[in-house]
Amino acid sequence: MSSEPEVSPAGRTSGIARLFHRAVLRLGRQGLLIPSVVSAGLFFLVPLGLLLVYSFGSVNLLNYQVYFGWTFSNYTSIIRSIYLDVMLRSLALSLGATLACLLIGFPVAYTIARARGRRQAVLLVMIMVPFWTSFIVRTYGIYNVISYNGPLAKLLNALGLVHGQLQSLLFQPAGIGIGIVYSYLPLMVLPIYVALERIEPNLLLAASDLGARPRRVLWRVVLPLAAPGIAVGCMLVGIPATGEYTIPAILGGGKTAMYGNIVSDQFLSVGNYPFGSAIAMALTVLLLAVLLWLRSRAAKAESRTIR
Amino acid sequence: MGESDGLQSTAVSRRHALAWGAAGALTSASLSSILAACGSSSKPSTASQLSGTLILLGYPGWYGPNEFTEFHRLHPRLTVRNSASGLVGDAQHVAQITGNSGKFDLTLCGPPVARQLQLAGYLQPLDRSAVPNLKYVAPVFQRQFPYGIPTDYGKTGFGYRKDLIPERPTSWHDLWQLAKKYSGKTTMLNFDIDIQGSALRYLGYSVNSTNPDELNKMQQALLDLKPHLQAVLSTDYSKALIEGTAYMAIDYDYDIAAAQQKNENIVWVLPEEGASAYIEGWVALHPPSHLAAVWELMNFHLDPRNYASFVNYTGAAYVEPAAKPDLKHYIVVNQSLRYDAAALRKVEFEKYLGAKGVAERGKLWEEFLAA
Repeated sequence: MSSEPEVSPAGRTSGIARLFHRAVLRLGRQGLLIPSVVSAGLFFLVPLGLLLVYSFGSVNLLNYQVYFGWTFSNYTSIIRSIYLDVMLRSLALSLGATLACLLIGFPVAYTIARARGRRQAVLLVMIMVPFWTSFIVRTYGIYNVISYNGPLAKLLNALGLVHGQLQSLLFQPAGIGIGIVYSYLPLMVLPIYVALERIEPNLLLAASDLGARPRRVLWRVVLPLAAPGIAVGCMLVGIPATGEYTIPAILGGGKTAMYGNIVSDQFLSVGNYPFGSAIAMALTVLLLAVLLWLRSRAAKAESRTIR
Repeated sequence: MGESDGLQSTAVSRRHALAWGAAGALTSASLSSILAACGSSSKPSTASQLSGTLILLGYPGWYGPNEFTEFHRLHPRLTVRNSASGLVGDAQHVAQITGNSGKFDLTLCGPPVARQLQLAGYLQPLDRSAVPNLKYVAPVFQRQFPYGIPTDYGKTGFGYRKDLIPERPTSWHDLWQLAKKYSGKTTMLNFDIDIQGSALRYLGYSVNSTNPDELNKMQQALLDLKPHLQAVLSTDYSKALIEGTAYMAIDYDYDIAAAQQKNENIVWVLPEEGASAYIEGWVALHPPSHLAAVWELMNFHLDPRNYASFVNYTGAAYVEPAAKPDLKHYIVVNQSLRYDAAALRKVEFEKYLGAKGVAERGKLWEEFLAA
């Protein structure tokens, strides 16, 4: 038979104090979350909630007062072919630009990750410096590069890479694609670099020692280990690129409407906030569904690997 | 209208840049303003009683360079502040006013916005007796803009480079044909009401048509043209024309006039079939809080010397022939900017088409851009 040890009143008091102390610490730790929770709620969830509520409303096009009648008509109107066409165009352009960013960004990130010391720092700064200038300014920068008889057209003509005489890529879908790749490339490079940087060099050595050739090391060791970085990079590029507004407006010359332009038009030109909200929500839901699907596939693949 | 109605944020900055481009007139304009401030026509007997802050909702810099300073000098207890908040299109313009009732005293707008504000109960009717300088405005513009004081107007035509094409287009029909011949060498404004109005005139219909059959034909004409366009521009409308990468540009008269200052090979065309025109002006807003001061400011703006200062600064087409002696020479003689009664007979001013009409036009424009 065992008996509980006697606890002196002083010990009991110190136990309560410890519990209290722990509770305060826990609250303190949770308190640290308050700013981020509040800001995420206030600036992300509340606007998203408003957008959702607006998307079921209707508008008086005389004074632009919004009425919340809980109608689904805004969503049924999206089925009109022009919106579906624009959505498909945006997704295709975004997919292409993401793939191009990946193809260009991976070798860049790999080079930076393999570089050491000062060289690595310089390469990283070179990737980040463009971020220090305004997005609009950078877009106008690429405008000049791809404009009529600009450097890119001259280079492509000189290399004979185009059929006939290319004058410009400006105001064409290809120009928009180049603009997106140029603007979003750092968002692909940086997460991949972080993933590659974490790879233990001994793993690569081990693979080589076991007879794997460099290409096999890349496919069987480096790429799988860099997969989380690649996935993050693809999301950071692909999601905003799908709703991109500024680049098509400047580099597309108004001829290639993308989803972001359609949403913007509804808010700024037409004044139909509920319909604009519905279009924006539709894309959000679509992208969310794609993300969840990818995530579930990744989880399944991971569990198969573990087994 | 392109400017006040379908205005995009980029157009605001373009106007601003245009205004700065005309800054050479600043010295003489300032002098004019000072002299005007001393003139009897803009000096009210109740001047000293006016006080407060007037808020004008309009493009930045779309007034005389020293206009508000001089007005303040005349009325020391009264200041004028300009706000450009929300001026990114007709819808935002109206929504900004209806959503902030009483915040703004007056706004710069065209008839479509003015009429919409009137129908929604946000427009203060013009008290013509309180703005005696209205007499200097040509009657045609007073008729087109009965909501307030007209400040400027513009026509949508096209410009072409006479050194790059041998043809001499004079009509919309010519433009449509040549755009196909020189595919990829024509630019167009990204303002629905002006471009749709131009296409309607090309087909022989009214600029303000709401007839579904006519609108369908208009849409088809625009869709036929689109593959041959270089760009549909929201800003820098004449840049490609000046540089020679475009041979033709559907554009506003004042923008072509400014482009002609940079390249003398650019020719302005007011098409034979007629053209759509916009007019814009200041309107007082309801409910009023400084109504007497608003009328006073309007009267001050229309004083011929003050008005000339505004036009010299912005390079806009003018509505006050009485201001001519104080205007820059290039504005008075420019084919696209000068006051020309014959040219005015060829244009049709844009009107408010009703909520349904605006929505239908908007939908068609969206389809055109998305195609």
